[in-house]
Amino acid sequence: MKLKTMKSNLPKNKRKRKINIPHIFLVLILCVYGFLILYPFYNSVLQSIIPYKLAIRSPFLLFPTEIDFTSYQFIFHWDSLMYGFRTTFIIVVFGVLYNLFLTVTLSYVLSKPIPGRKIINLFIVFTMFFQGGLIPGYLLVKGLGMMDSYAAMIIPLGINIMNLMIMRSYFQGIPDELSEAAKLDGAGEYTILLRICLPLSKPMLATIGLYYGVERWNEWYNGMLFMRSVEKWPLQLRIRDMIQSVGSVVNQIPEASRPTAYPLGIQMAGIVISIIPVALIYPFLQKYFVKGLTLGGVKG
Amino acid sequence: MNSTTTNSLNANLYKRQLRQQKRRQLRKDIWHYRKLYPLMLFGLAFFIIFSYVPMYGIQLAFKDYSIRLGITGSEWVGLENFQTLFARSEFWNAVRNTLIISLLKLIFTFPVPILLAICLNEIVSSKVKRTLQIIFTLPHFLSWITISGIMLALLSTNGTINSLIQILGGSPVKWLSSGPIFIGVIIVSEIWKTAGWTCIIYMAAIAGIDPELYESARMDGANRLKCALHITWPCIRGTAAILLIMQVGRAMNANFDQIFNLYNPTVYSVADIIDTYIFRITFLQSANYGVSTAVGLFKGITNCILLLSANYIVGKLNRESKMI
Repeated sequence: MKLKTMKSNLPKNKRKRKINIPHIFLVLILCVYGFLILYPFYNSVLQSIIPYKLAIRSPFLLFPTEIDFTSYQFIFHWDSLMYGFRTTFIIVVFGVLYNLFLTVTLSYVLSKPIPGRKIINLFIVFTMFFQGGLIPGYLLVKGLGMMDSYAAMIIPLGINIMNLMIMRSYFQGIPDELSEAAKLDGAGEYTILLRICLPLSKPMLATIGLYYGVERWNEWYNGMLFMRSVEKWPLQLRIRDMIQSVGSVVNQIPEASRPTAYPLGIQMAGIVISIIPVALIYPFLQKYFVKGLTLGGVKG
Repeated sequence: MNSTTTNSLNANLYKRQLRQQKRRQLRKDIWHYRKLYPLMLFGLAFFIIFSYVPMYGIQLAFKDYSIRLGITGSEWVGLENFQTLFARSEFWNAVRNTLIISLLKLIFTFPVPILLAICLNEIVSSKVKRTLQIIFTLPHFLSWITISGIMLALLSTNGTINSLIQILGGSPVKWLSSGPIFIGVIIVSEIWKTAGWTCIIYMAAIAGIDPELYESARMDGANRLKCALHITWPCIRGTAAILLIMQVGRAMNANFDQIFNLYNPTVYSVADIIDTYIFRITFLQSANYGVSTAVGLFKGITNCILLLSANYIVGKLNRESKMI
């Protein structure tokens, strides 16, 4: 697999295209597909803001006829979920810094024509296709004494190979003349990386950081394997718990508010607030996301 | 006779010189980049510790693991773990389910992003195109946990879709607890989450096509459909081949995150895949690490074989599309 840097200044596609009936039909089909993508989100938001009496009559509604935020009130007063937010926040901040450090250092070296590069590449790509599996990985983390510590959710998830390749392609795209010139001025390799290459790759660092950030935000698997103390569970695991055991949620609802706050409403409120951070930043950063994927575009 | 000996001598001498020169160059290169090598130690250490050290643990597949003795100290038992495993009908059930689900995903999920990319590419207004792309890629950023919750609201017995069916006069469907329908839900939700994102990879490949090709095809009177069939598709076929090979190489995985968060005991017979099976026998039932590792090894080797075969077959069909 070769990763090819795409030219960003491709000639604009200038062929004139008419808007005719088949074209309108095509746009309509794609809009229907878009609607199918969005509707489940809309439904979740809807379920989280309608009162119990509406939901019990019929959960299918085009728009809410009555709005009630009891579910959200419950969610924000439910300590467990707040603990989840705290853990996830810690994982995202430290995890992304750790990811970026490992990815940048390794990809920078691999972007240079150093001897031994091919062997190292093979060494890395091999791990994409063959792994030790669940038990050896589990025993390793246990053996390293990381059980029940935040480290278990941060350290084992260091480098995503796709992101490594993207970053390497980007570094390769930085003209050599820049570093040669800096070398003539007496700059060492590390100065070049810190003062020239990193500032030039800010957009790419942002992209990779976002990829890692989303991955970290969605982390639950290592949390489930390694975290014994429930108060250290990440947000997603909390939500999983909430979805899987409806009963436990109901029992945590104070007796007094039980008639109004109902399990599904609370579950959906939890889901909505876990989506909001991603949904809010995503449309603004979409060009970065897409840029990364385009740069890493797999080419035969 | 003399001249041939001299020739071969010369050739040898030349070869040796070349080799020496190469070695000198190599030494020079290594010296030139000497300060860079330490920088990659962090990344390499990560791969060694978290990818290669666990491979050492694979020997557990042939051992009777005891916590007291550790990985190295545990007793060798030969193929006993595999025998135990192969005698279990649940294991074969999981293997069969995994392969069926992967095959269905390959048939139904794989073509969707290609179609989406070709269709999106035909849209004239770039604003519409961008907006649609944002919408299509949104589910990619959610975890399967979140998606399972969203789907619960839609598909549970008294969820939104059943409510709509009842309003329209039908009878409710057991989306999540009836086997074949559940598999359908798995396939559709996979398309829902991943198609938009994979579509971008194809869009990138399409963006790299020379516009002149379309120009001249149009001159020859080709319409949009013909352009898509005879220009766009051949140009993205290589990308499709690589993604295909990678998907076949993951056939024994069949997406743990998705199934683990959506399934329930009523659909184990059709939806229990190898990964969920390993997880359950290891962490929820009595743990036998030897057997669990054996399942993992079986899965890993099968994946590698599938990957290499897919790569070989695709390479036979089309030399340029081979991945390795």
